[in-house]
Amino acid sequence: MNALTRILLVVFYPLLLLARLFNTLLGSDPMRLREPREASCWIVRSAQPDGASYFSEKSVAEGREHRGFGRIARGPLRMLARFYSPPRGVPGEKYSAVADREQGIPDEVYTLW
Amino acid sequence: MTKILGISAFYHDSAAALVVNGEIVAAAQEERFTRKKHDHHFPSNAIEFCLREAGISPVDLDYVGFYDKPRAKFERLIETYTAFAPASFRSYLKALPLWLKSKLYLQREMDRAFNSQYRGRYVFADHHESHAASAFFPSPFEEAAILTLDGVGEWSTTTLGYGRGNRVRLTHEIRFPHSLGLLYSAFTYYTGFRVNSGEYKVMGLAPYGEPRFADLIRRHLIHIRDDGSFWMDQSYFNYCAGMTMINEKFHRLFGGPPRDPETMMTQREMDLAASVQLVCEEIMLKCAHHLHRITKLKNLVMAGGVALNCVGNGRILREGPFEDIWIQPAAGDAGGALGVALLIWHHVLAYPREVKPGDSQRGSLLGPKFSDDETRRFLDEVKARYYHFDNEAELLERVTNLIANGKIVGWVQGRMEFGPRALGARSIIGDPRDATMQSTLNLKIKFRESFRPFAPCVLKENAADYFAIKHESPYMLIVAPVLEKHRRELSPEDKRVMIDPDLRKRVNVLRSTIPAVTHVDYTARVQTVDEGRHGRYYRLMKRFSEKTGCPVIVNTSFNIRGEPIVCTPQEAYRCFMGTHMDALVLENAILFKEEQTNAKPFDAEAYKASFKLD
Repeated sequence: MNALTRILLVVFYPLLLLARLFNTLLGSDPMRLREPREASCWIVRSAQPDGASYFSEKSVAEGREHRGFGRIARGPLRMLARFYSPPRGVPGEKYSAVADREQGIPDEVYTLW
Repeated sequence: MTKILGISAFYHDSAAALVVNGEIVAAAQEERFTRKKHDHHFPSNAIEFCLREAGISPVDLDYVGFYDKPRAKFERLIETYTAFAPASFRSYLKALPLWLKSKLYLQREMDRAFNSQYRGRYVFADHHESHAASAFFPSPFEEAAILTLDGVGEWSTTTLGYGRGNRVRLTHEIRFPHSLGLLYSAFTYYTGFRVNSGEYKVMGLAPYGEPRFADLIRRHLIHIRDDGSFWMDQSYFNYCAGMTMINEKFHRLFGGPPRDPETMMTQREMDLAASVQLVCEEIMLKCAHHLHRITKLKNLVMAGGVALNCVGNGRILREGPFEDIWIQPAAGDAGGALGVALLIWHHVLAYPREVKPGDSQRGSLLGPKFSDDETRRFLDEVKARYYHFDNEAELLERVTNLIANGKIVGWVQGRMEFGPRALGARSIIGDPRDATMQSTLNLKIKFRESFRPFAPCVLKENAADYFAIKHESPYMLIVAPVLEKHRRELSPEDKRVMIDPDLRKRVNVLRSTIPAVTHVDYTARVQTVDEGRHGRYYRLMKRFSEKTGCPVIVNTSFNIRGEPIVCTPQEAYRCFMGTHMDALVLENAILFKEEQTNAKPFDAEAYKASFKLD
């Protein structure tokens, strides 16, 4: 990771702290870190994908009801990503991914990302 | 003709699958081509194979599907870092660059991989919906309840649902960070094995232990409800915010740090394995019962990494409420490639589903095959001495004689398996009655000192004569007890050995008429073999059975420790030459090790060292 990326990510991190503060103040617990009191921990999947939703990278079924304030950081981070958009492929060029995982990241953690 | 390519990539076990007019034409994991176990890179080689198999190029594809939804996953990642801020800072700094540069631009990344030759639209399916589709659509059931159990996809870690006709519908879920797969992985790490590959070792270790930690797990780590749902106390885990699975609090709870990999196993690790396995089975069974209550369906299909826990699967089959179950053989992430391709066919294009007797997975023999001519050309090139058989009966006669005489044979026939198990296309086989077979295979072929027995293949028609199993198990995903009549009573000396701290001694105690495949708890990971799916492999076993009276053979994957299962004749030959295998059968050719005097010099040590231990 180059220095500029690192700096930009550090600059953006306070948004997450702010989001956490909002979560705490407003009692939002999107990850269910507090144990639910209900007899069941199953969450009903109320929304189901339709034909059009399959063409989107967003999900209509997952993570809709329990959104936390992380969304205030997601938008700016996606905007930041625009500066990194990978170049279009050149016909005939052998493909290699624009970025790969950094060395030293354990498999068990990488697979969660 | 509608040609659909499914892809799973960028996490672990990247794979590609091709579905043409609703038929599964080809599927393969990328690791088999790159020779890197659990390879997570874009599956360029697997895609190339799939397209070649159908005689098409990317421009001919109608749809390309990806097995999860990147934006939903990004949302989960940011919510996680938010929930754990500021402790999540380091993990955030490590994970985000990859998202900014690549994963948030998946369509462009795939365009680049296809060299801009694919002109169609990309389809994205929820991770667990892909799993569910991979379990239901190829299954032999018109309708079935669906259970997916995994580490994590986007948000879901466990889902319940049902499949009917050409639709799958997931109705309930448990979300990250509460995950049975991650709980099991935490113990895999804690007992000194590699996460994402060592889970089956924990399962194999469990029968040596007593589940004395199970209550501690239930009390502190995971609170299980009667309906199989659960909540996990994240104060014991570190995978949300850190770079490890567990933290100091977890270590303190179980009385010390994790075992260092490759060090001696103690009774504590065995007891930990037994405990987490018991908890896992309890949850699987409770989920199955709850799912049966809400769906009232008689059949169950399963997928997701936890569905590879064949001990749990066996209990669901024997003790659960369902009449029959079918499990996707590539139950892990690789199977998601197949799932999304089938979802496109049935959900996006709304084509009806045709249920086939047996199933539509074609024995999971969906990978590359190599012709007899190709094989012979290669053998001539390396100056191998071999015998070629035009007559199958003669070939099988020769091979069964070898096995009956205690020889270990590498067996490469037809199309390679899709999924983590060798099912008789890329297998090493031997005689299960041989008391020394297990240790010989472990030490001279696999180069490991394993505490796990090997898996038996049994002729389908004889399965119930040896194992307590009423259903077929063609994909080696069910563990079943060896029948009493085949068990051997332990002598006082055997009983003494059974408490020896050295597990290799324990596993070598003769406890049945088929000792090489009988675990210490008298169970076996059974593969039933039938002629329809397995062809020549079935006929080989049939001949062996006629000759010896034993319808069982030992089947282990054709590889050494840390190596992906071999794909090509070249890789099979290299493994044959680098180990103490006695003979190698490549399609219609047999090679004997002692006759390979003219072969080019082969550096066996370099070969062994080229694979990272798993």
